[in-house]
Amino acid sequence: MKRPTFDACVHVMKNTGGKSLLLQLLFIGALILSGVEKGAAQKRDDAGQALPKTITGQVVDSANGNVLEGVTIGVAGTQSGAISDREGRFTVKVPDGKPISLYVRLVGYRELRIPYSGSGNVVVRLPATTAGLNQVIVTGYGTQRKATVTGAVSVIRASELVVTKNENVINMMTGKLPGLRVVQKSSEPGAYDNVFDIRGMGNPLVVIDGVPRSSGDLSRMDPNEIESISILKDAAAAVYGVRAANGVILVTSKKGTRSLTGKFDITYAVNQSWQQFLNVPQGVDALQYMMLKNEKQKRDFGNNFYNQMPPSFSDADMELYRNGTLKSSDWVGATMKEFAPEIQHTLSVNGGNDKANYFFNLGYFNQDGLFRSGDMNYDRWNFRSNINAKITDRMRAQLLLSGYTDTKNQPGGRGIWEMFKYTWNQLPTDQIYANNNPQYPHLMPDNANPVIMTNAGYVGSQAFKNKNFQGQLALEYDIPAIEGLMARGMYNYGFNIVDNTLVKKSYSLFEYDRQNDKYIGTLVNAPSTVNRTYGNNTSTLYQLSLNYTRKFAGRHNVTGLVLYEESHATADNFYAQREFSLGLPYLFAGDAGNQLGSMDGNGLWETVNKGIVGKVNYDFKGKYLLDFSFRYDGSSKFKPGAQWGFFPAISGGWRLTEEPFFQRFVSPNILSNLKLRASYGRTGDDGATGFQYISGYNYPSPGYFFGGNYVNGMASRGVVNPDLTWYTAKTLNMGIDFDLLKGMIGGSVDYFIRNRDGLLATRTTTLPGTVGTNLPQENLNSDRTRGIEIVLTHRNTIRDFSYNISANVASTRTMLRVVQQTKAGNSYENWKNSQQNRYTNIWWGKQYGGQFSSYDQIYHYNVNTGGGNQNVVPGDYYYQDWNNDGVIDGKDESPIAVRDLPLINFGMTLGAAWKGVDFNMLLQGATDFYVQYAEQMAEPLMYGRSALTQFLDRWHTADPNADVFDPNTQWVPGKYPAMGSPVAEGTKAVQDASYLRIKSLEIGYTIPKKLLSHMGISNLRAYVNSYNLATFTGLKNSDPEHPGTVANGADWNYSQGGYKYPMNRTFSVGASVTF
Amino acid sequence: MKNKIYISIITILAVLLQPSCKDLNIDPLNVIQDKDVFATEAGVKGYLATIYRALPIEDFYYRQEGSGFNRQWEHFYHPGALCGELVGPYGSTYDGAGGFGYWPYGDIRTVNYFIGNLPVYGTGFSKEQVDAWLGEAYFCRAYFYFALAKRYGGIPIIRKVQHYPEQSLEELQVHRDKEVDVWNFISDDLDSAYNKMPAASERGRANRYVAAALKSRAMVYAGSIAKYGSENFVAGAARDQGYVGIPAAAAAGFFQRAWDAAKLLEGHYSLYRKKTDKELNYADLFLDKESTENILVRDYSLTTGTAHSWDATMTCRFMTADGLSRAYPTLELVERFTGLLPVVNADGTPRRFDNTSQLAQGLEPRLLATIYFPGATLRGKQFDMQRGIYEHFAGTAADELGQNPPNRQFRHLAGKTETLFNGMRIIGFTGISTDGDDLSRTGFYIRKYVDYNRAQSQCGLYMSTQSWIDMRYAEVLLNRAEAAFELNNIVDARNMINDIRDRAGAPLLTGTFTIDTVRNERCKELAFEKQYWWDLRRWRIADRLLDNTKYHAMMPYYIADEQKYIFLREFEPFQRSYNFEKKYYYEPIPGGELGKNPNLYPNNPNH
Repeated sequence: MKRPTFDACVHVMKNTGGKSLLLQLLFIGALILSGVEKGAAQKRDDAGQALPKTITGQVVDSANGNVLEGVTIGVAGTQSGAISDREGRFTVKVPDGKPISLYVRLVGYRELRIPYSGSGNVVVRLPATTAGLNQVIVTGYGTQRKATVTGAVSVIRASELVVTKNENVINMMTGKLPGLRVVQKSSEPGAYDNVFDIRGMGNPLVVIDGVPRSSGDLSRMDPNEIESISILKDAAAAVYGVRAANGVILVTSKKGTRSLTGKFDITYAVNQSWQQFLNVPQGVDALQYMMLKNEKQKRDFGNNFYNQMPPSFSDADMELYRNGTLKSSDWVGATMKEFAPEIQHTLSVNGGNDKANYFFNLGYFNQDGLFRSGDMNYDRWNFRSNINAKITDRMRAQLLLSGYTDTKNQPGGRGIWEMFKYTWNQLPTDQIYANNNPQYPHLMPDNANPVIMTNAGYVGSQAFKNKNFQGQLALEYDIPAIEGLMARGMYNYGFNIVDNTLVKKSYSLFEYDRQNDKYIGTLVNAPSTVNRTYGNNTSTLYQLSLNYTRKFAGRHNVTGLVLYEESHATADNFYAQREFSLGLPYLFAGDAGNQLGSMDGNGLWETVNKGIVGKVNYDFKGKYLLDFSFRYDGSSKFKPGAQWGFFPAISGGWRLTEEPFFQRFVSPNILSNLKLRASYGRTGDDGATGFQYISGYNYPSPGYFFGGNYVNGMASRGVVNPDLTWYTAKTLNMGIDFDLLKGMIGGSVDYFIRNRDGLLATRTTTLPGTVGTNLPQENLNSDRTRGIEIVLTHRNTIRDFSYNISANVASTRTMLRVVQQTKAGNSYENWKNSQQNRYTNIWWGKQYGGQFSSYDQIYHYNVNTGGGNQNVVPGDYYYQDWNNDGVIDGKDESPIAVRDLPLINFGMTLGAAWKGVDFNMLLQGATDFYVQYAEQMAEPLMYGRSALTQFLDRWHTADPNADVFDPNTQWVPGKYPAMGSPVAEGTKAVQDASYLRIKSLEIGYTIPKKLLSHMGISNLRAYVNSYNLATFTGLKNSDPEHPGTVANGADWNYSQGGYKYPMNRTFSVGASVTF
Repeated sequence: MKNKIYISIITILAVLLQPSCKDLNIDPLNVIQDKDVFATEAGVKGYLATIYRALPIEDFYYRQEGSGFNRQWEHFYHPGALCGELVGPYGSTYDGAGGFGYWPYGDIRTVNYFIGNLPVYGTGFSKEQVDAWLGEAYFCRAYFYFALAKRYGGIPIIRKVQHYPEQSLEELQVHRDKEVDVWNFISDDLDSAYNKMPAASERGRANRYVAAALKSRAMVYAGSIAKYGSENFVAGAARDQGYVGIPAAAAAGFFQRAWDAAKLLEGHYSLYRKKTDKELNYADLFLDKESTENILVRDYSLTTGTAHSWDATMTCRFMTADGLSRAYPTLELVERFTGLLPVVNADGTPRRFDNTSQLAQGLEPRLLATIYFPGATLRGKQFDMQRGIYEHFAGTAADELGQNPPNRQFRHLAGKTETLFNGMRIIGFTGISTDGDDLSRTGFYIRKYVDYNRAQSQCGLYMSTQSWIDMRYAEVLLNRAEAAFELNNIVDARNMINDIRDRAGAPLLTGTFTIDTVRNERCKELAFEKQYWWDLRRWRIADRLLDNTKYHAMMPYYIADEQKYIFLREFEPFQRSYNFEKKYYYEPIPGGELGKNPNLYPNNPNH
C-alpha cells in the first residue's frame, strides 16, 4: 500500500467523517439483507432438488455435547464430503442406494468411521483424544484450535481466573500464564499498583474485544465478565504491528450461551473479604527512642571525640515517660487498622435461543483502606451487555456495550507514601494530641501528624473518578458465491472521563505550654483550596475484513484474512483551582484571588493509526501447519513519509503423532500428541519515540516576571533527529507440545529470542558541553531478550475424585548487544560501565565481609574502610577489599545480584473435585530476585526521626554513659551496628527476595441439584478463599514484592522510597447462586 | 438473483477498500517555530523570559552545591553557612567549596541564537527596539560568563552558535580562554549592553544602568582577583598558562572600570530612606517593592508556582505554619557590629538580666533589622530563647565555660519544650535544644527579608512572594567604595561608606580608614545576601578566616534561685569546624566536561 492511494481515499471520504461509517455499515448491511435473504433460500431449494440423495446431520463433542464446527465428513471411497458449519450441521451427497461408510475427522478427536445405510439425520458424537487440544484459542484477529496453533500463545479461561480473588484482574493472572511476570507493589485501593510484562519485554499491548486499551482498563474489569485471556508472546503478535514488540494480552468477554429452548440463567455472586495488612513496620516507643537518639549523639565522632556534647535527652526528659506524665505515642496503631473489608457483588444474565443470545453483567466492588479514619476507600461499578443476533442465515450482528465507573477516595493534600513515611518516622515522644487532649491535634514537624493527615475531616479529601464506556457493533456476512468467505465490519467507540476533585483544607495544630497550661495553636495548610481536574479521551476504531475458511478435499484446511483497521484517539483536559474561605469546597464558592485555570499540555493530543492485516493459515490433515501473517502499519506519531512499516511473521508446525510411521514407533495411546513448532516475525514499539522529529520550541515553558507579570517561556527542543522511528523487534520462538497417556500428562516447552534494534541512543561522538546542545537521539542501540518456558500438566479422575495439576516455570533475561558509549576514565570504570554484550540489570556492590567485634580487631585491621578507620566502632560492617588495594571504596564494587523484576517465575495450580467439593490452590513464586530497602527500612533515626523496632537489636555500650571511642568500653553485640554507624551496603543490604507463596486457596461446595431444584435454583455454590495466605521467604521485615530501590536513575515513584502502601492477605467467603 | 449477490459482494468490497478518513499527519499542538518567536513581540518576550529565568541570580533558592540554582525549599542551605555568617546544616566548608559543576553553555547558546536570529527575523521592528532587545541579550550573556569566571577563572568564550556536523569535532573541542580575557569579554558585553539599552525598563528586566551595576560588581571582582590572587595562589599549569590568575598589573584598570561603572548610576538610584525609624526602614527596604534602591529584582508568585520559602525556613516553626529553620547567624557576625557584647561584668561574673530582651538594647538599628535577637517580636510572638536552667550560678563565666558538660552539675538542658524543672520550662520555644537543629543553635535568627507583615498561617513552604533584590544601590556604593579605596581615593570611599552608615543608623566614620573598614561595612550591609562567600574568596582571605574555625553562640540561661538571666558566650552546640583549602579559590572544571573535551585541560591547580 502506498501513500498516494490513501491520499486519494482521503479526498473521497473527507466529508464523511469516522462516525458516519457506522451508519454506512448498517446501511450496506441492510441493503445486502434485503436482497440476499431470498437468494440464499432459493439456493438451498435448488440444491435439494439437484441431488439424488443427501445425508444431513450434526456433530457434537461426546463429552459435553458442544456442537463442533469445521469437522470433515467424507464418504469413504468417493470425493464427496462436507465440513460442519457453526451449528455443527453438515450435508453430504451420497450415491443413491449403496451402503456406504462415513468418516468423520477433526484434529484433536478420534477419527470415526460410521457405516450408514438408512436415511434421515445422523448425530455424530465425536470423542476427544485429548481435551486440551480442542480448546479454541483467541489469537490476533481470529481464533485457532490449540492443536493447530504454531505460535507461542498461552490462555486462561474464566474458571481458572476467578479462583484467585483480587480487586485487580492482572493480579488474578499471576502465576497462571507462563511468561507473564507480575509484581504487585501494593494493595492500595484503586491504585492498581503493579508492574507486569510478557517475557521481560516491557509494557505489552492490551486488547479487549479487539480494541487496544490501557492496562488500567484491564485491571478494572469485573473478572466475571471475562471469557478468556490469551497472551501472544512471539511473532503471533506481529498482526498488531508497530505496537506489538512487547507482546499482546488479548481479553475476550463472555457472550451468551445459545440454546434451542431459549433457556437463560440468572446468577448472583457475592464475595466478602477481610484484608489483613502484611509487614507493616512498627516504631520504637519513647524511652527506646530517647535511648537510641542519645546513643547516636554519643557516636558522632566529629562532635564527641575530644569534648563531649550533652546527650540529646536528659534524665529529666526521660523521667516524664517513666513516671507516666507523658505517654509514648503509638503512631502506627493510632493511624492504621489491622483489618479492612472488601466486597464484590455480581449479577449476570446469560441465555439465548437460536436467533439471539445475550450476556448481561452488573458488578459492584468496594474496598476499604487501612487508615483508621476510614477516609481511604475505593468503589467500582462495571456493566456489560453483549448481544449476538442471527439476522438471517448469512448475516449476524454483535453488539458489545460495556463500561465502568470508579471512585478512589483518599485524605487530601498529600501523597499516600507521605502518610506512611510520617507514620513510621514520627517520634514516639511527640504527642498525638497536645496534652493528650483530643480537641488539640499536636503540632509536628512538617505539619505531618499522621492521625490528622489521614483524616479528611481535617485536611480535606481527594476523589479520583473514571468513567469509561465502550460500544461496539459488528456485522458478519457469509458471502454466498464463495463458500467459506465471510465479510465483517466492526466499529468501536469508546471514551474515558477523568474527573478529580482535590480539596485541601486548613486546620490548626497546637503546642502545649505546660508551664503556663496554655495551648498555642497555628493555622496550617492555609489557604483552603479546591481543585477540579477534568479530562477525557475518546477513541474510535473500525475494522473491515474478509475472512475465508475452507477445507479442500477433506485434507487441506485453509483460513485467510484480509483486514483494514483504522483507529483515532484524542485527549483533552482542563483544571481549575480556587481558594475558599467559607466551608463550601466548590469552585463557585471560591475567593476571587489566586485563581488558577489551565490545562496539562501533555494531556492534549491526537493520534491516528491505520493498518492492513493479512493472515493465511494452512494445515494439511492437521499434520503440517503453516501460518503467515503481516501487518502494514501506519502511525501518526512519526514524520510524514516515514509513518508506515511492514511487519510480517511466519510460523509452522509438525504434529509427528499424526504420521503413521511415528505411530508405529510410539503408540498413540502413550504419546497422543507431539507437535514441533517455530515462529519468526517482526514487530515494532512506538512507545517512546512519538513526535520526536519536530523541532522548534515547547510552549509554554517555565517563564519569568517582566513588569510584575509572569511571561511564559519558550524552551528549545534542541537539535532533533527527523529520521527517528520506532524500535524494531525480531522474535524467534521454538516450542514442543506433547500429551501423554491420552491427555493425562501434557506439557510444552518454549525457547524464545527477541532481538530489538533501533533503541534510542545518542552517538558517542559526544559534543563538548560548550556547544550547548546534545546530539539528538537516534535509533542506534540494540538488545536481545532470551528465555525459556516450561509447562507441565497432569489430570486424572479416580471414580468421583478428579484432580489436576498444572505447573509452569519461566525465565528471561535481556542483554544489550550494541550500545553507544563513551570510554570511561580508567580501566575499572570502563569495565564496570561497559554495557556491550552484557546482561542488563546487573547489581553492583561491595562484598560484605563481617562485623567488627572489638577495638582490638579494628586496631589490627589493615584495610582502610574509607575514613582511615578512625571513626569505626565495634559492630560496624566491613567489606571485602575486592581489588586488594588496601582501601574500601567504589572500586571494590563487583556484580552481586540482579535488579528489578525476578528472572525466574513459577506457578503451580492444584485442583481437585470430589462430589460437590472443589479445591483449588495456586502456588506462586519467583527466584533470582533481589531487593534493597532504603530510608527508614535501612537506617534508624533517619533525618533525625524515629526508628523501626527491628533496629533495637543493635550494638551499644553496656553503660549508656560510656565513651564510645574509649577502647576499654564494654559493648553489647547486636544484629545491626551502633546508632549512627554507616548503613549497610553491597551484599549486606541487597537481600535475596526469592519467595514461594500460597497465592490463593479456595475450597468450595456445590449443593446437590436435587435439593434445590424445587426452589428454582439450578446451582448453588459456597466457598472460602484466601489470597496471599502464606509466604515462604528468607527476606526479613518485608514482603518480597514490596518494592525497594530500583536501578539507578529509575523513576522514584516506582518504590517511593519504600513508603508504599502494604500488601494484603485476604480471607474471603462467598457464594454464587444460579436461577 | 446472482446479480444481487454480486452487487452485494462488490458493495462489501467497496466498504472494505473504504478510504481512510483520518490523515496521519498530525502535529503536536504545543510546539512553535522560529518565525513565530522572533518576528512577534510576544514571541521575543517569551524567548527572553526563558533566558532571564536561567540567569544565575543567587536568590533565595541558590545553594553553593548539589542542586545549585534548581528550585528547592531548603533555603537554609545558604552559602553563608559555609563560611561563618551562619551555622547551618553544612558540616564544613568542603560541603560547598567544590561547587556543583555549573556549566551553562546551553543557556549561552540560547542567548547566542537570539543575537544571531533576531536581526534576521525581526526586520519588522524598529532599530531601537531590536537594539534594546540585543542589549538585554548581551547583558544576560555577560551575567552567565560572570557566573562562570568567578567559579572557574578562564573558560572557553563562545560568541556564536556552534553547529555539528557542519563544524568538525576538532573545531568544537575548544580551548580555555585566559581568565583576564574572560573578564574583559564580560566588560565588553556589558558595555554593548549599556550602549544599546535605554535608561529605563520594566521591573525585572535590564536597562543600561542595570548593565552598569553588574559591571561595577564584576570589575571589582576582577580587580581583587588580579591584586590578591597574585599574592595568595596555588601554582600549577593552569596558572602558568593564564587560565587562572590575572596579572597584578591589571588590577588598577579593573578597579577603575568598576568605579566608572558605579559612578554612572549616580542620580538614577538612591538609598531607601522612606521611614524615619531606622530599624524599620532597613527591614522594609527588603520588602517594599517600590524601593528606590532596587536595581534588578526577581519576582515570585503563588499562582505560577514560583513562590519561595524564606519565611518558612528562616525562623522556627513557632513563628511559621510549615517548614523548619536550620541556619542561624553566628555570634561572630553580630560582633562585627557590636564588638563583644556586654554580658560579663568587670569581675568576670556573668551580668544578670531581668529578661533576655535587654541584650538588644541600644544596638545598631541595621543589626536589629538584620538579625532577630532574644525577646524580639514577630507575628505577635516573642523570640523565646533559653538554653537551660541553672539551679544557681556562682563564679565567673570563664570558669563555667572551662568545665566539660558532665561537670556542669547545676545546669539543666533539655531536648523538648515539654520538659520542666520545678515547673519551669527548661528550654525556650524558639531554642536552644539539645536535640536537633530546627531551633536556633546560636540564640539568633535571620531577620533580613523576613516578611513580618505576613500572617503566620501564610508562612508555609513555597508561599513567600517577597522579591529577591539581586542588585541594589547600596551594593553599587560599596563596589565604588572598594574600588575607590583600591585606587587610593579615600575621600570617595569614605563618602560612600558614610552614606550607607547614615542610613543604617550607625555613627559616621571619621578616623583611620583601612581596606578592612570597607570590607567590614560590606559584610554588614550585605549580610545574608549571598555575597560573603564570594567576597571571602576574591579577597583571598578565606583560607585564613576558615582555619579550623568554630563559631559561637550567645546562650541565655535562667538562674532559678535568683530569677535572673545570664548570657554565656559558648561554642554553638554542634561545634562544627570549618576549613578552606587554597585550591578552592577556583572550583574544578566539571569532570564530565573534561571527559568530553580534552582541550579543557589543564584543570585548575590541585584539582
